[in-house]
Amino acid sequence: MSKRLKLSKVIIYSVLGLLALITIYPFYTTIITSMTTQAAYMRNPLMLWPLDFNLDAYEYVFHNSNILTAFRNSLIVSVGGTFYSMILTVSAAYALSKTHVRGTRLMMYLVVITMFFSGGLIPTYLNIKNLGLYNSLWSLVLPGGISTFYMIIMKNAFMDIPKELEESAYIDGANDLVILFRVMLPLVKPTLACIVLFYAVDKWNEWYAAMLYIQDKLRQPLMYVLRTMVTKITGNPQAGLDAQMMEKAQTVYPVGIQKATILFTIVPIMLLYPFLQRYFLKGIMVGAVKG
Amino acid sequence: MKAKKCWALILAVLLTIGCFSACADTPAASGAGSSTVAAGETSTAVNTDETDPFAETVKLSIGFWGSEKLGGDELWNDYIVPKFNVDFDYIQMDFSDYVEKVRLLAASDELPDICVSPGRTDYFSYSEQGLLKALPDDLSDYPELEAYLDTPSLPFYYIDGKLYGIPRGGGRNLNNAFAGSFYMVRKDWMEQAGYEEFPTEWEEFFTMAQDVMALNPDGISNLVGIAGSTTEILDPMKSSLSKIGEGFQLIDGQWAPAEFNKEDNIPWLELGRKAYQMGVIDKNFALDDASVAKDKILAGQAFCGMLYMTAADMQSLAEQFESANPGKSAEECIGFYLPPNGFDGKPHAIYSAVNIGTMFSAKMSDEQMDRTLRFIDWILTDEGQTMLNLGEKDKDYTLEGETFTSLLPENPATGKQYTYEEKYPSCIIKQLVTWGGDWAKVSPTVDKTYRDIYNDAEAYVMENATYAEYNYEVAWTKTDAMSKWNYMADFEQGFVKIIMGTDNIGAMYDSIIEDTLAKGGKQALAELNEVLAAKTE
Repeated sequence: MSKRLKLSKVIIYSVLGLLALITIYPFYTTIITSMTTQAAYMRNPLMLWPLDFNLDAYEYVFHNSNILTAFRNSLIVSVGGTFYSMILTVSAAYALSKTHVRGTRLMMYLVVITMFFSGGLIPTYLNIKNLGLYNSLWSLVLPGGISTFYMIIMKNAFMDIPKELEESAYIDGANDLVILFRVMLPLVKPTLACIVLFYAVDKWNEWYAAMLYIQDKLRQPLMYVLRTMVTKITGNPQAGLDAQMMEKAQTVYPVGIQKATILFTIVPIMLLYPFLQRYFLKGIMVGAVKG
Repeated sequence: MKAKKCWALILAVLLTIGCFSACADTPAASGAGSSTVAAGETSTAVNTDETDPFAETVKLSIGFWGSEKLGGDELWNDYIVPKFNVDFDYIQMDFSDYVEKVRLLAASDELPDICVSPGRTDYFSYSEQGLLKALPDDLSDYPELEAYLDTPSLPFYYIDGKLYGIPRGGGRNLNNAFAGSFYMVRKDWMEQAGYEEFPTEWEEFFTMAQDVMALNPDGISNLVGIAGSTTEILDPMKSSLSKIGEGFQLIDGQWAPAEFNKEDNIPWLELGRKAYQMGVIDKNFALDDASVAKDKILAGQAFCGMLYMTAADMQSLAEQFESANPGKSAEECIGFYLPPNGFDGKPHAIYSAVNIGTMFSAKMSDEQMDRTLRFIDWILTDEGQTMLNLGEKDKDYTLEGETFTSLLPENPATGKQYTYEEKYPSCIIKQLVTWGGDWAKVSPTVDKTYRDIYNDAEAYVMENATYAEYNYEVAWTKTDAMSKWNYMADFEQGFVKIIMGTDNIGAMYDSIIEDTLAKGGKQALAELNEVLAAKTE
């Protein structure tokens, strides 16, 4: 290899390596900070390894008796909600991709309007209450059934598939449902994976709706419980900590708690991502191509 | 083309119908409380039974940040509920989200019977909308509450002669001007630098901090002299050395914010800049958050910092110091001192205005209001305070002279004896009325050392202070322009720039005032003065 090529490779790899380090370092710092003591952190906020290794922050997080219940609730909402949303999204997208059918254009206009206008917080709250969804996990699943944006991405993916494939399936005697499940969905796997990940992350991160609609502590999702925990340790101490956590609160510090909760919440999504990565990279460009 | 226009018309009509349908009356939602009194009506004091005011069971819904802790222990289920004969319904909310939830409930006309108030503006708004029930005119059945409400700023919360909520104060005495601000100081470093007493003058205080930093007894790199956020650095200077606490002052015959008083503000700003240039104030104070002073002192990274605290907080900080610094004694290393005095050689105190902390739904009946007020009245009694802080004598604790002994059992989760809050979480109900700061002054659970520090400081301030009073009548006068005042004025940032800057202080100060006036402040103040002038005519 020529000297010039070697030098350029060195420069390229160095820059990329530096960028990779810059990207990874905040994540690494989060792990380190969550495993150290307050005194060590105050002495040296930037550490390469945990000084005074300590897992009190995680003990504080797991000391909350509701944490596993909240985790279960989040899992139910994420898995069940994603499944429900995908059924609705795929069905709506497939139907609306049939542009030759009368009324689809009007339907699209009506659907797009909902992207710009919504009922507002108060009507939504009253709607949830009157439908009997208050204080139920269904309030976190049903109202956000379809995201218009994701549905449009899905519709575009269906429209990109050549019509000839469908026609040949019709000729072979397949009906619409068979075509959807046997022909169309396998061809839009990247987009499907992408939308599944988007929905899963959205529902996993949901806390605001839980704050408004879930009264019962045993039905609160993980994000809301962790948010409450972090705001209690960093906010007004006069509001009082949960009795079980008061003991632990003496030995932990707010930054450590925040880092521990960040790690605890992103681990499930990080475990899911490698399986969807190859689809994600393909699917992320889909919505950008054409309208 | 015609078809397109047709479809566009149909779409427009559908949209319009959709908009109007949202304006339809909603059926009465299953809200809190029973609806036997018209919205906004005043309740009358009701004594359902001369001999036993608690004869009838009453239902009450409660929306409060401690709601989740209620109903799960003996204190609540075996004492409070039977005593007051109330069937409680709890609306869950947390301290971090109660403001949003209460506003949502108010907008949906579903306020619980007893509800914490998000703030002053919301209180006035809800009472004007008829969402709140007024307290009875005659409070003789609730003597503690009646005494509690005797405070100068409360009349400004009256609307048409009626009060629609009760204030939440630091303690049971709303007329206490002592703010509870102390400097937490590394006493051992102070003594090593040759200072036996904490300075009572600001220049001497800054010099002491500088001497300690130069000595650096523990050899800490980047040792901070005075740590804190913007509030913690500026507040003690402002309170001691200026009259900013008055809110509004008459300046050249016109009412204006106290920050507009150049003669009053330049001296303390000069002192602040001098301290910053001496290097004793944390260089990053403009970026730091409120917990940083405490954190840095506990970690041995700072000499001192100002904190608002009770005697119980002092004890807690001392314990945290020993936990963070094994081998060091808090008694030897940590001291709590009042901020230095003002230019007149005296401490300064301000009678702040109270805030409405708890309000009551207009859907409450008179019986429900009576029961609620009797409950609140009990919270304010010595019996109530003892029950909610210590428990029952000889069952939960014993007290022999000054010697307090807890009789609570061991907590199986921690292996240590229960604290009162762990055993009876529902004791948080005391925060419905007060934060309980005054209890810490007398509580036998707080070390006498810290109680004495706090009580002696309070006595000194109350006896020697130069007093000021917040001009709530002027500050709370509502005009359209004044409602946007917070967007026009950011004096704190301006003062930070002056302290950290190098340009002429007078010129920088004038620039802040001119900026504020240019952003609409001139019109706002003109409107305010017009309204005030009309009131006095």
